[in-house]
Amino acid sequence: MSANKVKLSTSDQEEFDVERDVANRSVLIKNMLEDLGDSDQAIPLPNVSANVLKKVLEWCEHHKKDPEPIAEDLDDNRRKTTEISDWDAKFIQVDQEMLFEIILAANYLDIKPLLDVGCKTVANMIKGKQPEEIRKLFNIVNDFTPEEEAQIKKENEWAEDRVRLLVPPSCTATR
Amino acid sequence: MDSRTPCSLLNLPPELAVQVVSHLDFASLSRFIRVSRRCHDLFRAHVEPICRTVSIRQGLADPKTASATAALAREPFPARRLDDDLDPQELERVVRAQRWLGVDSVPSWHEYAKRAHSIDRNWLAGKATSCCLVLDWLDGLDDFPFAEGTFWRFKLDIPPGYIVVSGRNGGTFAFRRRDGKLMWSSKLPADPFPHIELSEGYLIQQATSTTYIALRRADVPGEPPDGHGHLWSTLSRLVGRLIGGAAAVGYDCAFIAETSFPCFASKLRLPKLLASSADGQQVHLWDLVERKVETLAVPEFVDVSEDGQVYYVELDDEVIYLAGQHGVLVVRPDLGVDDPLRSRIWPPKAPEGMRHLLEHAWYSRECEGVGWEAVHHGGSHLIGISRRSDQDDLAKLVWTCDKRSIWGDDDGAEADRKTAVLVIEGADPVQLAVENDRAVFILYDEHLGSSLWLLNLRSPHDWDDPCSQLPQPICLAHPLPTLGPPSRVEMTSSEIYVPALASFFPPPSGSSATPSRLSRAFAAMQRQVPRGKSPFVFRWENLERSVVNDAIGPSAVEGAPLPGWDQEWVEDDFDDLDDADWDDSVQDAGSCTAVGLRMAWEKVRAAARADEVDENHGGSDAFAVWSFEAT
Repeated sequence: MSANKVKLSTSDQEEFDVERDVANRSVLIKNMLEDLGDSDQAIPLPNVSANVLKKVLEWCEHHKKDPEPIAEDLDDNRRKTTEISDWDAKFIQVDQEMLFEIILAANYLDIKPLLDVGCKTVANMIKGKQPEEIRKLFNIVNDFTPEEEAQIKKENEWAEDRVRLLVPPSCTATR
Repeated sequence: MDSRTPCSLLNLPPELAVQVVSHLDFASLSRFIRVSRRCHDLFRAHVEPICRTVSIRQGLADPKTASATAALAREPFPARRLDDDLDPQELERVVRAQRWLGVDSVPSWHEYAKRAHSIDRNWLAGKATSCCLVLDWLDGLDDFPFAEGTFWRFKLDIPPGYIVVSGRNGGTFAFRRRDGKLMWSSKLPADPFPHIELSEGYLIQQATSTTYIALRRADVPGEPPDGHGHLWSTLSRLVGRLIGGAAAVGYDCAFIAETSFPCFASKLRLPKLLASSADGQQVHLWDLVERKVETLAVPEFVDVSEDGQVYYVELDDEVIYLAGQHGVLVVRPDLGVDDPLRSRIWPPKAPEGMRHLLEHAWYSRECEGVGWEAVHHGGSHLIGISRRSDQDDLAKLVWTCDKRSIWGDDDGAEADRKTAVLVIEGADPVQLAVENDRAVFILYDEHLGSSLWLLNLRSPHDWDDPCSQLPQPICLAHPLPTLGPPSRVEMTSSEIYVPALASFFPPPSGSSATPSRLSRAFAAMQRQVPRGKSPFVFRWENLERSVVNDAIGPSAVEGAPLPGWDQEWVEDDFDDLDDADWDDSVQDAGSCTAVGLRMAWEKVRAAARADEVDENHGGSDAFAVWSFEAT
């Protein structure tokens, strides 16, 4: 096969012919290719199924020309932590199971920017919601006793959004 | 297909679940951990890395660059994997960089997040507790018979937790924040009403109009002085004698900056010290760490100010700011005088095509009769205040949320778009401090006293539409415990300091002393000012308000004027009030009309006269402190 194509094989034994540029978005595959040298052998990806890999490759195709991410640093994008590009936001509009499969696959394949998009998307689903809404959204059963829940609420009161006092108390200075 | 259980939030591996929740804000996180036991357990098991990442992402771990340049305080936050050990030195560094006076360490990121988040929330809500700190001068006055126990300017010295003041008649005194005890003093500077500059353990003492002595606290690393040989050691000994008290606590002479012209205005943001001649034509810029000096000619300053007077100077990592009568000249010292990119005037000049529309009025740009009292920057923000102009009798606070936009496109459109003007009717802004996306300013009116205001700024990232969501000024206190306009305001990431007079405050609780007449009149006026009301009217505008009509100009915020507010009362003569009017018992508590408020302030002033509090000496002997820490 051509030198700039690689073959990937999924957990359900499907094979994908992929451009090297696209496959290189995965640090895992990139490292394997560097170790293997030129080879016609398909690279096995036993943790990824075909339908998920198809989706992941769609992302890699769109982002194949992105510059290499520089050293991991929480500084650069922390203010824009919820910001997801328009294309990525559209791309990640999938059902919940696929969303979590993409997160797992991005983690396994070591595609940091895609992992971030997935994690941010889930975080955005949680943001601003009450506990009951979160339970409903992710199908989680509340296994707290009311006392326990009250206790936890109290312990973490510091983090809650308190009512914003637009009207501050006036200066009541005493010595 | 594989046979794993369907993937969901709770069977993600912990490493990934932690990555998800690390993108939440603290409020969402607090609701998430109430969802179920597993959610709570996940948080408990990884509370440190989660609190670290969320704090960093929410901007709560940013260094607070109180008085140093930003570049000096910046350290990157590396991403860490869940099984990496956290670096305890990183947390120590972050805590120190918050400049919390008196708090040197916290035990964990969890505790850090609790503290930093509460402080942040309290700022947003304008929720502060206030107290009075009376300075204990007794020990210091024996050596300084001229000092008379009042100060003029001050700076906060963190980490030792001192407030360093310049005596009204000269000298420098350091008081402990905790109890107001005098810790050290120095005989410099020798002139009355002296300026003071302090940053990161460096203290500048102006010895003569052409000599600055830079002292360095012993715990601050730095090279010993060199290069001056015998002369230096003589000078150093001389300095040691003058700064006696400071030398005793370990201050040492680090640098002597001599100028070829008398210096008028100075500013220290470590590592840089800036000093300007009175006419702004010449500027010295020292690097105290590298021990280099640059001397700049600034001929452009003529354009700004006809009377050639520099009012205020400021600097940051890249540029210097010279404030004058009509505007602020912003200069990039790295560029030559002939370089067209070297300087800009701020607030931004009108674009070429619009100037003919402006006729004689520059409105919020270059305005006749405006004095730019102060210009400050914090983070990306640049803010200046000007007194009431002769033209429109309006005072202004001009805010550019992205100071780099000043250097943007040629026609200034970007800077225009990122600039908003807070127009203030009825009072002059006299003091300003800007730190960490917050601005604090003091308004002064001789008939109503002074008041302390907070503006929570927002990041330029949210600045798509400059006309929306402009912050409401929050009144933290009106009146302030001072007769004239306060000589300074300083802020840290958790506190605000305003010079005050101790005689405004009641005796300490438990004391048998009766409250003075002044403290009773002051307390009565405090009760009288209704919450959320202000005798001053604010509105936000853009720079073009005189050209574009009101419908386009923003009016997002209107101050809530007091009932009965009109101009007539301003003309009233209060001198012929009956004696009975001054009696506390007649005080009409809760009457919040403008006339009632003015009468209350007149009573405060009359009480000050009766108690023989000198209205005109200009110095202060105490601080009013507002703390935004959790209560």
